[in-house]
Amino acid sequence: MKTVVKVIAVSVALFLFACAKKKEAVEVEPPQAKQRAESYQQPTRQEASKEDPLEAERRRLEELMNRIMADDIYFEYDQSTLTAAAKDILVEVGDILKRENRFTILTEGHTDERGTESYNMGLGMRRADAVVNFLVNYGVAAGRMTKVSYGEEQPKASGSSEESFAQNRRAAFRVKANN
Amino acid sequence: MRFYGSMVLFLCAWIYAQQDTITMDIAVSTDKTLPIGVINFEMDKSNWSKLEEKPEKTLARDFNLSGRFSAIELEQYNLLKLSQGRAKHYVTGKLSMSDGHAKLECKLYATASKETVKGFVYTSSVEQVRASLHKCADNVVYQLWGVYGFASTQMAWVRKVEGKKQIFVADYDGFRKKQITSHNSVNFMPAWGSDNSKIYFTSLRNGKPQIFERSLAGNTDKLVFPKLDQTFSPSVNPKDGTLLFANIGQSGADIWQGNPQTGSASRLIYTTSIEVSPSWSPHGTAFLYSSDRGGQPQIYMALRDGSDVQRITFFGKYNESAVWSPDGDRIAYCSMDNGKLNIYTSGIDGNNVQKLTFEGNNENPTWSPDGMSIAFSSDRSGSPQIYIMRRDGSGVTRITNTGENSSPVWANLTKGGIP
Repeated sequence: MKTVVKVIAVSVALFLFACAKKKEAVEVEPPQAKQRAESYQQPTRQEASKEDPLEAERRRLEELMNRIMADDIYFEYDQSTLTAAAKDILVEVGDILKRENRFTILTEGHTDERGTESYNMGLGMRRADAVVNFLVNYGVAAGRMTKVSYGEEQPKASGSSEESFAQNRRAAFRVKANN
Repeated sequence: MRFYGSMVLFLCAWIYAQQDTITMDIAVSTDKTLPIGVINFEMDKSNWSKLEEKPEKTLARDFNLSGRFSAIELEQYNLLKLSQGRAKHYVTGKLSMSDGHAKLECKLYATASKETVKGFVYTSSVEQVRASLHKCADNVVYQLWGVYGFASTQMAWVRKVEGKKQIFVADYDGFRKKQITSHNSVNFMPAWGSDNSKIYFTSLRNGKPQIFERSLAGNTDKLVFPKLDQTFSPSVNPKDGTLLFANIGQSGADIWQGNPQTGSASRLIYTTSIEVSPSWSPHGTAFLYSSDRGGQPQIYMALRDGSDVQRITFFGKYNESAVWSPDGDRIAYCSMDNGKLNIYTSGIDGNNVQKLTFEGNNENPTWSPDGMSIAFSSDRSGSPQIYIMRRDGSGVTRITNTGENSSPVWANLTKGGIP
């Protein structure tokens, strides 16, 4: 069901992207996708009006794609093997990426705060590797994907509870639209 | 019959004794410290409000942290108390102001005869009195032990400022700290340049981990290896200043060596596993690092060209961030047991393991330049703070009190520290 929603969302997005190339501006309301991390800066209306409408549209779509791909991939403690749930999400991500070549993705690997800083940098990369390897095997061109490890430095949830730890052991995506 | 019974008992005991056992000492003071009296200084009526604390407090702390002395603090000379404490020597002095300059007279005396063994005089600004007291402590170490102490050294560590990790440099006792980095991103994993004029550190400012160099005299950060994608955990060769570091490759992380002047670098240790936390030996001829090629991180040793790899740790499932003692005879590292990190030391062959910490998470051990003490960070108080302990785990002293502080690294001993 979720997949269907996403595929529709992407189709709508891409249709609008195509339209945007002809029309001046199109109002795109993102579908009821989850609110993504705060780090995506939405251009203010003023800024947007100054820039090239196509560029504004590209950014809007990039943001939309990021919301669609907001599901993080979670891992077990000190592990980098993909769980069944992780693979389900990656199949969706793979489908979206295969359908639309314009987007490249950065995969971030993260760990919880347990263990040492240095080893966790390595473990974060191993998680990003697992995700990218899966997508390559699924048919996404390796050249479209980059990866980074943030180790334990950028937790999603604060605190030292098992719930926080589970939220922080993750791989996350950042999508970029190429012109 | 009784004879056979005792034979069986004897055999059992003998077989048991033959089994491989790892001895582990708990942290009671096993190294003897030398008691020394510290008697209140005479201070003239000038305005000393710029001093952080009374001179005798600074001096007594230096002695206690030195790993060599235990200070007996007295308001005035008291032969009975000094004798009871077995202090054969004591230190006291005078602080006075003339022409806007602070004059610190510091003298080492023999307890019984009250004769001066050696006196030291320092003239400085009031702000530098603390530095003079550290010099006095180092001179006393030199007089009574014949070696250089570390009271005048500095420490770098990571401190959170507005939620972001920044590198700080301070006196080794935590006083007079100064913020070095200010970029509004994560700045961590500091390492001193071999002559203490630079700090190498890792920053996420470009969206990925990269090693930067910061001259302490300047205020710009230089990206050290622009050709490499993701680098972290630098360790500086004490002899030639080259760096060992972890570089994220196609699979896991590998150990690389590079020249921070030219930016050139090459791989030393590469497997499909995670290799991190390199640390040079005191003379730069070999290094320690961690690898999880056996499934979990363990400490390994290799020669400087990456050859002759040997596994060092076999006890415990998670051993990481090893550092070599200045004498080269022992290593200190972190080990995880029951989900908590603690600091251990062992011989360089991995034997003679000693557990030094027992409370909270304890990480990032760093040796004092003379190998007598170990600084580390611990969350035992509820927030991460820096502590110093003797090399046997005794005498734990907290040196930071506010905010969140972690990853201490001790500076090298500078040449000519002793006048």
